[in-house]
Amino acid sequence: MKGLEAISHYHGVSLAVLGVTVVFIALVVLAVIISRLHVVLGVWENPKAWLDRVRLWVFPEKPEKPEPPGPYFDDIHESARQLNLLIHAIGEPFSLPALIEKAEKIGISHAHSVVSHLIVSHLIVPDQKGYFYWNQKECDRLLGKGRGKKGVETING
Amino acid sequence: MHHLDAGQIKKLKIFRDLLPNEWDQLYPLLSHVWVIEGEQMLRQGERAHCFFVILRGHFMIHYNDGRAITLNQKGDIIGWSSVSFPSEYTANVTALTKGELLCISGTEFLELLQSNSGLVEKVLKKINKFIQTRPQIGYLQ
Repeated sequence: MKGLEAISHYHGVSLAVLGVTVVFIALVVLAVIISRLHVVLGVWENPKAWLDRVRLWVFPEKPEKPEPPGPYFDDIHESARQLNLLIHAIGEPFSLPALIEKAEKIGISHAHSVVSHLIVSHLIVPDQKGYFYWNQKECDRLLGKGRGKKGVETING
Repeated sequence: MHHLDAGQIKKLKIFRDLLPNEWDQLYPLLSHVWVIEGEQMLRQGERAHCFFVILRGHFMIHYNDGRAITLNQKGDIIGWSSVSFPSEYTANVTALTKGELLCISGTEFLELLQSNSGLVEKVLKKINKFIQTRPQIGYLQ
């Protein structure tokens, strides 16, 4: 037996294909390892940062819940009513620091927090020029939503 | 030192794209600051020594002429004048609620930027972008 006949008899073609496949797979594996080498080196240099990253990936954090308002917000409607009156007296647009200063002078407790709460609630809105307005539309909407709740009607006086 | 998880801080937009080695250089410059409601943190005209990244709370940036804006988003930046010239705060900053911030020394931050050009690209661009997206009522912090 000689030549192609011998090759065929001893599964030469299959062995050649197998050899090529093994070499090709080995090269692919080697290429993947080299392409990810920087990751391995990053872990080696700073394992803590990578552990943090893995931890965040495995246990993604839930979005933070907003803090519950302080106990002084039990009386937020009364404070809002007082600020509303004060804003009417000052005139619009008004200066936010001036409003807070006057609110403190007339004895509104936690004036800063109350103003913050009113801004977050869109009852006090910026005019984009550095001054602020009372948002009567939002106030009416909130009043409509809360109508029937004790004390809410007092905002509009 | 820090009471917040480094991983939490690293997730803030300003730091998000830093490589581990860049983050390792920047992290020691951060210190954690707490403020109470009504506390005046910065005064217009004072020497600007550091800038702040908001973690929690609502803050009012206001001029002596009465104009103001408020910031309450996690990652918002206050006191950027500390890394610009002249190094004076250009507005007052008052905490409307109790809050938590990260404080970064302007001088140390600039020194770090000088030694690592990659940080200039990543951090300064983000800060500039952030400043531009604010309501423009003048040259604020």
